[in-house]
Amino acid sequence: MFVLMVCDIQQRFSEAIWRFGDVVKSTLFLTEVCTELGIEAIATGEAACHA
Amino acid sequence: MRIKFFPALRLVMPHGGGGARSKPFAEQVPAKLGPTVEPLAAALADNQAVFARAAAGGGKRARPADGEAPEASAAAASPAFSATPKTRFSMLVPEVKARLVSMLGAGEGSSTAPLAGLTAVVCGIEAHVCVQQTVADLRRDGADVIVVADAVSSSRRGERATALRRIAAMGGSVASAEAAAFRLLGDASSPHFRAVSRMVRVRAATIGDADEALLA
Repeated sequence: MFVLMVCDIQQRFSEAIWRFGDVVKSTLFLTEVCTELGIEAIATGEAACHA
Repeated sequence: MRIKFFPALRLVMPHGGGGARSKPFAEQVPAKLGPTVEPLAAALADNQAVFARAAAGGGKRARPADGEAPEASAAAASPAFSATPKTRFSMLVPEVKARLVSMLGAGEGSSTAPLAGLTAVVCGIEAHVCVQQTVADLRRDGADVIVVADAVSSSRRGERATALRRIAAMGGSVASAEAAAFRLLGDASSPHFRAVSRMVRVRAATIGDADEALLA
């Protein structure tokens, strides 16, 4: 079975991550595909300030 | 605020309002790092609403009815998905792992490979920290992994490139978002084929070649 795992796409990283906007767009696309297909998505946030 | 390459994306605080969408899933220390960006948070809330509805209705996973507004389906979902905050540089904290094991159900996995039978499609940041360590944990527990190249990144391009090589060396697959979508769809005879194909076309028309750098 499939699951979508979305890791730490948080506001703080928007300026620090290379091509952040494209990452969000692609993840958004796959989230919508998974919802269409009935595949569950799991998302987490991250505490560490590594970016 | 607008983000380069994604002019329609607004970065707002999704937790400010009330209702079922006020906290669709947990985020660790949002006061420090900010919440998940709003368009994605809304899409994830819609996804979780489907499964909350299924849980309330006997377990059958079903999309919102045709014509039903996402807000309506989200409002009908109670409670929304939540996860315990984490501090590890991996998504596979005990609570998430337990959820994945429960999703697999009886007959899947084993004591040495509890996530055998699972294929995890992984997106997010940073590629060389949390994504890479999530893949390592998933592989250790027997899951197949697809890391979406145009949905992962790092603060530095070199870190991302090295991480993707290490992920491949761990046995993870690296695919584009479009390739992953068709892997999830599986078959052109699927009743979802037209809807997914439409999503692919809309995305292609919207994104243009903006993702080429991430796929190179």
